Amino acid sequence: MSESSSDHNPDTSSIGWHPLTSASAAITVSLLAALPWCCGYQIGVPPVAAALAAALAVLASRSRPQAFFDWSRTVAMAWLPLAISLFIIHGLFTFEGTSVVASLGPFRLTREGLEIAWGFAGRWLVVIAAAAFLLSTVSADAAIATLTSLRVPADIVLVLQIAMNTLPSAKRRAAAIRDAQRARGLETNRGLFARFKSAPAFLSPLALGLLLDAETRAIALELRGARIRGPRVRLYALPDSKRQRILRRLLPTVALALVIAAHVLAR
Amino acid sequence: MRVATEHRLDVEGFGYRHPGANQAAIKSIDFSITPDRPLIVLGSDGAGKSTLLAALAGLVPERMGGTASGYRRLSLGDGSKLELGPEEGWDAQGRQSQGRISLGRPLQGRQTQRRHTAVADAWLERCALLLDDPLAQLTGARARVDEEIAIALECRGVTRAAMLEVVDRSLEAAGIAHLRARHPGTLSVGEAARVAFEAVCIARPTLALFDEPTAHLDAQGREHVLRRIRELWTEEGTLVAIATQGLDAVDDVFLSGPDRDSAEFNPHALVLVAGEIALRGSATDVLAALELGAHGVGPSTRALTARIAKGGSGDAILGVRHQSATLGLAPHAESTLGLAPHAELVPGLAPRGESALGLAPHAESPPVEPEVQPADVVFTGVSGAHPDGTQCLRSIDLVLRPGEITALIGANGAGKTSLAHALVGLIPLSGGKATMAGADVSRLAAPQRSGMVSLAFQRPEDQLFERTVEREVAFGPRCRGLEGARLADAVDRALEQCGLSSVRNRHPYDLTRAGRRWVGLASTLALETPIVALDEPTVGLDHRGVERMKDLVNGLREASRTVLVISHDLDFVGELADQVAVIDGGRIIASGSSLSVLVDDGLLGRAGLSPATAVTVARELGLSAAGGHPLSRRALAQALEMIRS
Repeated sequence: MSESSSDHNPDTSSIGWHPLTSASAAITVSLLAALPWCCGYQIGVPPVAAALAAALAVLASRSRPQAFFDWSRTVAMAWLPLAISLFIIHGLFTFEGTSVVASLGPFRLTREGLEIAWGFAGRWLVVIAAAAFLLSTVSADAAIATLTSLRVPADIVLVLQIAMNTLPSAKRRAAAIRDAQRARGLETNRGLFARFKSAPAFLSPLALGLLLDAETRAIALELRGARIRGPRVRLYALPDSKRQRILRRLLPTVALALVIAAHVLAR
Repeated sequence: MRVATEHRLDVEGFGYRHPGANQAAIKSIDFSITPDRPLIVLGSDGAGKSTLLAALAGLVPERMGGTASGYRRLSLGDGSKLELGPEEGWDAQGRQSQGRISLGRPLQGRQTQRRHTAVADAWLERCALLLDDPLAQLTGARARVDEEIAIALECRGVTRAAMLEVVDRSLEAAGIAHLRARHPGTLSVGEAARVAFEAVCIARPTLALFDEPTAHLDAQGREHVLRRIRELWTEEGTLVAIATQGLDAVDDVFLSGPDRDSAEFNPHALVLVAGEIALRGSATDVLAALELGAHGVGPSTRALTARIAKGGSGDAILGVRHQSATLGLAPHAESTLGLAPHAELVPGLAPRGESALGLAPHAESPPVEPEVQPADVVFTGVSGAHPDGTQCLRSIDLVLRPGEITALIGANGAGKTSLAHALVGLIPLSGGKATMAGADVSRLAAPQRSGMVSLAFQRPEDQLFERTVEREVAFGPRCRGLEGARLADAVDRALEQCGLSSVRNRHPYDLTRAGRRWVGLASTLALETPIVALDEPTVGLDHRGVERMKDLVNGLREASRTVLVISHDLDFVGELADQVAVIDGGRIIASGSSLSVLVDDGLLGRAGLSPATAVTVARELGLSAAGGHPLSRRALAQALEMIRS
């Protein structure tokens, strides 16, 4: 059946990419982050990977309002702890380093250590940015539709479907529980101690509710026919095109070839 | 026009016991459903209605474990048959230990299990089951309402063009086209109920099972759902079974249609008591049966009218206030389907003066209300928005007075719950002013208002977390700093008011959904605030529960509390409310005395509502013209008796 543009649900992929195309772009960028230092740069992140990661960030910001903020927050939350630990380990404990930037007692912060730390942290930044792009542009149900189209068994898809929908469901339920407990006088917004004290009243119904939700959702999905074998058609087609299909096969292959060739040449 | 189909469901000697339970939830019952003979399942809370529907859908014991006996046989129009019939039952994991499936050929080991799973899957594919909790029914797997509705079609490989056409038609017919692009997670309970109904019916099932299909719906939604159920069996030849407490709905869908006097038209009904059939027969006879009340089922308005016309007493028919009230508290943990997996005791009809669970009988005189300083509420031009920025309240002017019950009515999604949330401080005001007892509370958050106002939520599960009912009820007062004897007194009073004293040491999740609703209400009452708001307090309650709720709300009024009741049960509103406010699109479009609002068809129509059945019946009988204007079944009964005498 031909797919008109009106068949596409504007909510699920506003950048117009098929989930596999997004995944392919993320994989390509991540692979390029592994280019060795021989490729025209000395320190930190391969420029081509950094540039592509930045391009993905721009694309992600077009997907919906506040998307760039969400993307930045995801990247920061995942990358900062990793980066700090890398800088501490390599900055302070690279004993070959001779150019001391700062010292305190037995600890010496060396320039060589910082460069190594940035080399790793920068590459991780690119990988995390690409992964965050994938998360922010591919909805859970689009991912499930893709798995179905790839003929992943219905039982496995059902389990993944329930698992992937747990987070948004948990967020909604958490808000309802917080409201119910605050209406009974529970203080949740007055500092860390108040939050800690209110945790059981919050977490207990949340955990129980999520368990029951998962059970009921599984049954609700089965009652709609989630276990039926055979072809599936989505109400709205996932956006796709011949160009996307070619690109998503080509890009990761080229990137992988480049990385392997660069590593071989670097020897 | 009726479509002749050969579908048929036969249940023979079927019994079921939840995993780990000592007693059966369903005890060896037999019945059949044919396209021209739909089934109505009646019974008090905890009688086994939801469990029976789950068994008919092939969920218990096949998906949820437990032990079953007897047979369920689904004969299809093409001559094939599906049969689920364990002789030895399933173990707790839902695996069949030994049994006979389909065609009656004995099978062994893995072969048996595989075959049985295949039959159970095929059975499930042909069923639609509407659960009584609509929010739980939504899969959460889609980001839009139209996609949520289309899931059943997607799974069956229907072409995209056909799907779009069917979904469009379904949304239009249900009057929910405006919800099409909404995320299912953002719907109100009533809106979710309407979406869930469309979602389960859209694949044209062979067997359609509905658990309280109209419980959460406004008049428009109720009318559509009932019409659609009629279409399913009269035009599409679907096998239909409904479990419900809403007998007026049953009257409307099964007994008041054009087929009523047709010889072919023969809906049947059965009344369950503790998993056994206590009464069965044609729906007309069962609904008119005098002993219905003894089984915890209230009469429909039309049946009540007919009985009084034959010389019955309205008080005797409706009067459950001085009988023992079980509250339908089943003594076992429910699953989300409203099923009780650990049925150790038998819920159901209790001997007079004592419930089956040892629950306190409904007190002859209600517990003494604590003395609280009366407080009024004044909303002046109040506006508010949800956290996502959606405007939900627009320039609300409303006054709630001590010693008065104000009912807030409106269509699903009109803003009723949002107003209650604004009252307790869960929705910050973006404009206007709110005062309580003369003090400006506009900027106070919910915890700071909890000494003044309390709210019984529509879904009590969102607040229950303690390991006993007593601790749960004590949580709110404890947050407010109550302790010692004062705390114990407040808790005892609330437990007694809600009939929970004898289950105070049980886990809240050991009770039925209605039981948990009472626990949520007791938690609210224990706060002993001068202002009390109740969000849909009668949903899920059986006849006795509703009567107890009426007494409780009346008691609050007598104790000079300021009471706000949100309800689409216009019979409940008509009997209790002093003042009624109508909300539509986040605005109060009218308010006034019950009499001025509840008989104003034009006003109710504008708000997507229709008059209560009692009002309609009174008009049919010419009572309104005589100046009676009965607004509830009780008032109707009294008016009829007065005329007769």
